[in-house]
Amino acid sequence: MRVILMLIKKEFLQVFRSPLLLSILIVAPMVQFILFPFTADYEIKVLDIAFIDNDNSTLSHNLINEFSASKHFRSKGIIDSKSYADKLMKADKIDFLVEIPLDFEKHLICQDGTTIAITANAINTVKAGIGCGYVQTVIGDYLKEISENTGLTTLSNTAQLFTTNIYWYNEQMNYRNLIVPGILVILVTLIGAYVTALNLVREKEIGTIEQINVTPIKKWQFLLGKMIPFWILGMAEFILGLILMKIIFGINVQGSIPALLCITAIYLLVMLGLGFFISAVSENQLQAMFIVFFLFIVFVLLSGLFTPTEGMPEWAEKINYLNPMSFYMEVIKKMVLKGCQWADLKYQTIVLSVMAVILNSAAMLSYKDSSK
Amino acid sequence: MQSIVAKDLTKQFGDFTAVNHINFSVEKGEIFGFLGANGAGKTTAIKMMSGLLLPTSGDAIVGGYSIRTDSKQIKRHIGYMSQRFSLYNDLTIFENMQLFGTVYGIPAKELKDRIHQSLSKLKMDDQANSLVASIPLGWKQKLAFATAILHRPEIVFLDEPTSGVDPIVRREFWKLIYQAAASGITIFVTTHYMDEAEYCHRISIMAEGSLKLIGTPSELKQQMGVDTIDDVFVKFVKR
Amino acid sequence: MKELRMILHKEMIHIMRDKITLFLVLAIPIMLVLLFGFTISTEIRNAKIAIFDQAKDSQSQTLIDKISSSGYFQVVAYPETESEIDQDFKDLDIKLAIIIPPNFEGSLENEKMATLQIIDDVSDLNVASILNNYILAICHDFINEYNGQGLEDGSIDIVTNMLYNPEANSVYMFVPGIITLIMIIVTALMSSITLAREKETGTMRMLLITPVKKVYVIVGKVIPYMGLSLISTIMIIVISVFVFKMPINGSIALLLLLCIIFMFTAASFGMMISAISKTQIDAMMVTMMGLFLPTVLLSGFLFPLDNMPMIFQILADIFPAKWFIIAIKDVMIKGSGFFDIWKYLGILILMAIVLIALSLGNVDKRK
Repeated sequence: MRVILMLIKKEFLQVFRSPLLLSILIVAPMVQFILFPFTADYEIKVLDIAFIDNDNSTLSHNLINEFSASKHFRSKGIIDSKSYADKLMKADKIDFLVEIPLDFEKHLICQDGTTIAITANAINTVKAGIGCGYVQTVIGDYLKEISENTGLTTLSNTAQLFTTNIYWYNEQMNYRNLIVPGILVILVTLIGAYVTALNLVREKEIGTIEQINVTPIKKWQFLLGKMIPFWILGMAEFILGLILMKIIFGINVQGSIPALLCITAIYLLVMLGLGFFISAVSENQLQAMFIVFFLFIVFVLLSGLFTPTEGMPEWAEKINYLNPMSFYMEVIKKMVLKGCQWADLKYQTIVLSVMAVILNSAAMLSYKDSSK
Repeated sequence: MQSIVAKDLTKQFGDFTAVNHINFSVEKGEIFGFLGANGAGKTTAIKMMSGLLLPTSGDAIVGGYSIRTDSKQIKRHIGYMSQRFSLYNDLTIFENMQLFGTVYGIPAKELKDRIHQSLSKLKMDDQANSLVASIPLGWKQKLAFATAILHRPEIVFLDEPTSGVDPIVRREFWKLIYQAAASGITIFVTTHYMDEAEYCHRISIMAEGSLKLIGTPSELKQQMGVDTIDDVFVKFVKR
Repeated sequence: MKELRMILHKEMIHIMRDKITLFLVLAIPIMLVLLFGFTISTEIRNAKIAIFDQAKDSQSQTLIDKISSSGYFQVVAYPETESEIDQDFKDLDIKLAIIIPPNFEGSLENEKMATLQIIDDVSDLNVASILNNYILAICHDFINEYNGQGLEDGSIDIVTNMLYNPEANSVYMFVPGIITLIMIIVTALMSSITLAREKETGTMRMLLITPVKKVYVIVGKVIPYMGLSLISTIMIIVISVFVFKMPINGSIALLLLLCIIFMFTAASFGMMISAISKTQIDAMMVTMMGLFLPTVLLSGFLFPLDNMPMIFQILADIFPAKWFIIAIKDVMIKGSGFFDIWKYLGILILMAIVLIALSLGNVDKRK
């Protein structure tokens, strides 16, 4: 016991003496909280749109006005030629081009059908896809309006189906409410896996670990002595994150806070185990960093923080069963935004606990205090 | 009484034989020098004897325990100072000594006394709270030695303890070694400074993994018909 | 020059010896491209939904069939109360719930209108808006069929042309970003870390005692990693062309030139970082926080820049990644030529020069 306490003291002394590590622990969360919510915003708010009006009629003008009035589009004006439109598109000045055909008004009034051509810059597929949806909505509204205003009979005779949307768990429709809890996940993961993996490999590389290995210290004592300090730091970091989340963004945890802290503690153990396992199998900091970095990207990618997981192929979903971050991300989303309780998260808790046990045993087994 | 007995101690890394069937014994309280060029296998031998490496074949009895089966027990009874300086640079002198002392299970109060004793012996009392990173290399080495014998081990292994240190500090360092030996600690030291070999009670010369010569410095000089150990070595290499 | 060759030779030996790192450096970019390419898709299939059918008549059943056969949705629950819906969101992870009003068929028949309630889980906004679009399209089809009319009558047909990326392949979006990240990691991060390692383990002191100029020590360290990152970049491009069918519409020579120029910029960042950091952890943290994170967030590769507050847009201009990504997209996808992108090349070169000047100034001071 005394030995472990001494090792913990040593680790804390080293952390608090390293201005860089300390600043990482304090500054990194601050920076992320400031940077991410303002920048990591996927939401497609406004799309730049231009028009080619071959009809130049009242109804075509109305359609253009309808687009310009939509909060989703910002009109870049009516242009004359297709080639100029191409130029604008190439220079990223517009995202969408609407071409209204000749005799648009005539066909509309005769009700024999007309076609509008939409050109979307589809390099960013998210933008293009969501934009196409907006286009449809605008045209639908437009049709409804002209049928009411002009007394065109078509629509008034037929039944209509409307939809109203109710938004749950994020009433303000604010992307930040998703991204901010995501930062908590990233913070805890970074401290758990990154900092600890590098810390242990560093001792290997400078040679201090040899001095430790020649002492009668036991493997588990040494690993616990490394683990407890970083576990405490991780928890402190998480609580700091929760407080910042509340103060800066006014996001309250909807679910049970003790349960959230408990699961976070388990998740941190998973990450610490992972960090130690990696440091045990890598020879230098460069290797450790690369492995952690790669895993980190894969974890984030599959966890659904930045990209939807629903569109993934099945094999990717299967891999996700091995991804601790995706379980924890679910916990955070459910706890913070949806107000779940402990009972709703039994499954995730069990999975994370099993992962913690496996990874930490792997770390214990692969850490060598004497070599062959 | 014998502190170390090596019997056919061998270590292979793949095809390469780093240590090849070496046999020797070291008496309690003796200063035993292990000489050889870089890459002769000195460090490998010392790592095996201190329980950091398992031998491929053969065995050594260190402080009464076999390095094959009782390396855990051995670790309690030895001190070790490696070629690379391996105290923590970002801890103070006191904190380093406290850390290693605690690890060896020295009771807190006694540990404090011992640290102060050994620091005053080194005349470093007033620096107990300076960071190790801030003190000069020679002092660091003396400090590392003091830390390695803080728990009063039976045997201490020193792997090139004086490399890169100036001659004056080297002489001071050897004074510390003599004091430790006088108190009954067996010293096993490797070096490539031939003048240091003269300070040892007995030396052995290692080359290409094998022990080529063993004896007291004067025996070896007589045997080879030369005046200094340096010449012994030169003559030996030429042969 | 001989000195530089010697340092280069030494560094190459290091790289070749450390097989694990070499493997990681070359394999990770490939795995990342494959993962990004196969997993990221903006199309959502089989999203779990719940339907609260208050009508239970033949029209509501038709609508439900239509929704579940669309391929976009998988109806996993039929709750009977609103509170059950809440539970389904929590337990079954449904993304959306639809409430069909009572007397659905009757309303359509008599009042010529009905209103569906859609409850979105907006804890993920983009998923929510994509799914909403799907539902709207299905409702549109449903009502047209109900009215027994074709699409043409009185309504407007929309023909959509997905310019530059006709199959709406997300790889187009991610490949330029991945190339950028890999270049930064391999060139800037690796070279600054290995330099810091020499400082940490003390071998730097040995090198500096030799008469080799300090500049050579650093340049000699950086060049091999530039080579490695060029290899990775070429591999990424090859994979994205052959596996993901990404086009190279512009000239390949121009693309390579662009990559090489950006590599210099990244390398100059690496030199700058190694000049200010003493340990490997320092170097890594500075690269991560100071270069990698801004690249991910402010390059426009994941998140659109025009949403951001002004200050971040200005910040984005300072980092090279934004310019490189614009240029590489132009060359690969839009087929731009040298004269379309010379401005971006100029900016990247300028940044490299400034950074190299700054870090060399730093090196001389350390003498």
